[in-house]
Amino acid sequence: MTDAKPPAATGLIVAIVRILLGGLFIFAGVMKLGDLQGFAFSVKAFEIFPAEAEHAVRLVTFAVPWTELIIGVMLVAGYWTRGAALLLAAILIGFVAGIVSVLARDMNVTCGCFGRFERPCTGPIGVCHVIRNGVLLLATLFVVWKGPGSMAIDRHAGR
Amino acid sequence: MPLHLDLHRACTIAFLGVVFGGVHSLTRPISLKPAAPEPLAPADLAPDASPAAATGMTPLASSAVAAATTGKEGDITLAQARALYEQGVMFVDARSLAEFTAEHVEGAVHLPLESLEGGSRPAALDVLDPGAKVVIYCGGGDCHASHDVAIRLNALGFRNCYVMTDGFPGWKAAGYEVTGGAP
Repeated sequence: MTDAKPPAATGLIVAIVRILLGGLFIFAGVMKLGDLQGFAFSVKAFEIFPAEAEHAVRLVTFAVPWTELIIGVMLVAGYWTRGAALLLAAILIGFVAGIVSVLARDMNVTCGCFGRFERPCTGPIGVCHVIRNGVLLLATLFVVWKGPGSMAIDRHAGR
Repeated sequence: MPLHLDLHRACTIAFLGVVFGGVHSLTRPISLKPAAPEPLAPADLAPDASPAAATGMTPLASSAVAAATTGKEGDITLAQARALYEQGVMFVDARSLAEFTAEHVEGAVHLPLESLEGGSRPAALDVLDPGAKVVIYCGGGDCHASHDVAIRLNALGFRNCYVMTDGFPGWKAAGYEVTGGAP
């Protein structure tokens, strides 16, 4: 059967993309949780929230790393894959919007996305960060489109 | 798989993230403002250069106005920074290495925010006394680095961190001592 191989190959590709994405966001979440003060600085420096809205900065500082961590674990496991990928896509769109906003205001801000491991985009926020998040967004949308692929709990659970 | 079910799951994950983050925030304090240092004495204002001289206000009243204007305790004027400099207070440059190497306040140590991240201890800390006053500056304007470094230094035991809000551009424009070179 010639129609059996393409889905299997696609399923493997989706699984690889899903697991890499999940691993990356587990890493991102852990790095942020390891230096919450530094991430709080980054959130504050973006000036998305008014100066008096400290509660909003605190909420983002604590909620984003945990959400990234949960999404990462779910993507690696392939559990609630599309839901996790949809949320990740929404978060990445938010990140890109924030970065573009910083660039539009010509601000000198560091990302805080991956703690001390800002690769390949080092230094203050720039176009590189937009491209990096754009690539991650495309990979996430690929998972949303194709579903969990192979090696996923969702496949065995019929989700 | 119906889209509404995936959206429902996405919302559930987001809710979990907020709940976990909320619980975590109860156990892990973070600072968004530097700790208030001890108020500066009237002698810490240079009468000839202070805003008080121009406005006729007392130095402390001028200082209070400055603090109220910026809304951050520990923010000091260029005149106050100058007075502290003349007393031998250490200055900390929170700008990038390239900016520091090009020009910095004479005698300042280079201590950017990145050097204090991830639990690292830069060598610059060895020349600073946690019990003494420290003046931190960056590029002025909307530069956040000074306040962020002040919060980091607070966590390391430095209680009297002052931020020169005019930054290096203000210091240089006033004609005060600047020099170049790597840290």
